[in-house]
Amino acid sequence: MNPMKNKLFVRLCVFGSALASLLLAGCASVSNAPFTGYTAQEKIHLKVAVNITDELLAAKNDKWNIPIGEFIATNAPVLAQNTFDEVIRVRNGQVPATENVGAVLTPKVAYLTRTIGATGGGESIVDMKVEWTLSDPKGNAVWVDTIDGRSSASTRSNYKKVARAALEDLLTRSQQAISSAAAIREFAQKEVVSKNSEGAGAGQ
Amino acid sequence: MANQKAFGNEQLMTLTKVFCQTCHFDSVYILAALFTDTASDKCRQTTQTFKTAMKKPRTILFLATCLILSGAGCSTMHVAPITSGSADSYVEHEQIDGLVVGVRPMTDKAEVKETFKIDLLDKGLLPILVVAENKSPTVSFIIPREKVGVLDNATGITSASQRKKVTSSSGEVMANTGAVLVGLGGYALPLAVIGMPLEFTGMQKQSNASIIEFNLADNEFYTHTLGPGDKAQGFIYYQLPKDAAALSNCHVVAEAKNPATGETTAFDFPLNINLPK
Repeated sequence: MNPMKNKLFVRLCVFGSALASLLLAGCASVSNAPFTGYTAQEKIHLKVAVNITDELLAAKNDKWNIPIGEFIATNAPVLAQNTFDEVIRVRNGQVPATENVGAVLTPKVAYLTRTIGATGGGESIVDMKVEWTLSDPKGNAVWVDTIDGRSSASTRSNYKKVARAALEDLLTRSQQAISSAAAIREFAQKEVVSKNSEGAGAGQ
Repeated sequence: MANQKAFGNEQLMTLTKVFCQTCHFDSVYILAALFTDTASDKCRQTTQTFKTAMKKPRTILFLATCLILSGAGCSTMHVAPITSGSADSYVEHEQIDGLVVGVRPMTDKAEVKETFKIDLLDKGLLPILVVAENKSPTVSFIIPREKVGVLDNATGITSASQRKKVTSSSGEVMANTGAVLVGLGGYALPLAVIGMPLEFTGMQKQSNASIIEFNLADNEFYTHTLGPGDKAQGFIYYQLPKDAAALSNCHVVAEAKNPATGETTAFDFPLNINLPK
């Protein structure tokens, strides 16, 4: 056998397997299942409609192919179910008249980016900010806040995994912010009192 | 045999280049070409010359020095998080119904460059820090980002934060800040590795631009609801009039809403500043 050919073949195999292993490490698939790792806590007594808008669904980062709008649309109802007593899902603010909701929760993407490192091993950050609005059935804002989710890894890492970690960070922080918001708890209490009064009035 | 030899040269280099650039391994591509004898015919002579040179200690020392210097200039930029004092610690501050809002236009070039890693003032953008603190024990306040801006008395127009004036059209300008950092690595090198610092220069520029843009956006003032004891901070970026030497007819304005009552509270801070040349 031609020794030159043999030498080349060996080097090809070594080099190719090294590249393949590095490629595969970066190409593992990422789960699209909704995040469920929320903190178990007392839920807010409120029936909430999670409002998924066309604007939200269209939000994405074309450069890095991160469909953040779809991520949030998939996860917002699960987040709400872990935070409020009762949750329904609506589109573009269309709440059915038969559903007596206490509030409407609308997410909106405020910002999304991915930085890149100066080298393949340099730090790359995925940062996403979502503005959550909780409004009463008449559309008056009760609480609005912009929550930040972030994750970082080396630039050559699978950026979809990093984006998934940033999303989970954002959802966890969102649950904390909503659960601890004085304005929301105060509003929910008023709703309960109001419904009890209506019920007592009807009974009489 | 000739065909197989051809595959070991041009085609393999192409394949290697595709793999390496996909994985951001631009420098690996060059090293692979040098040390695996798979370089194209065009590089083969240079590779042989380089291998001969590498046997000399002077050459090794020279290359090591170049790599260290170029590597030192090729680290990923880091930006320290911005800190702020209490809202009432700023000269321009106001308290209404328990909500305190303080503002501070940043006009010192050195401070702007240190904070944002780019001279925003040179780009015609004035960063203004806004700090809001809720000192009410019972009331919450919603401060929408679109209600925090700069009112130009001459035109009567209130401009919200204009960050995109820098990040959308001046990406190349921002990217050039990276060129200085890698200038040390850009001097004469053996032909076979001349591509390496040039590749790093491009990556450094891209990296710097992405981090500068992120820093600007991350530190912008976003919509917040401040519960009792809560604090929010962020910058608004105001596009300065061309060739402006001073700002004397503008106000920083902010509006907060009490969600329980629906009442709004307005804040107004006159801007009377000289801009650096």
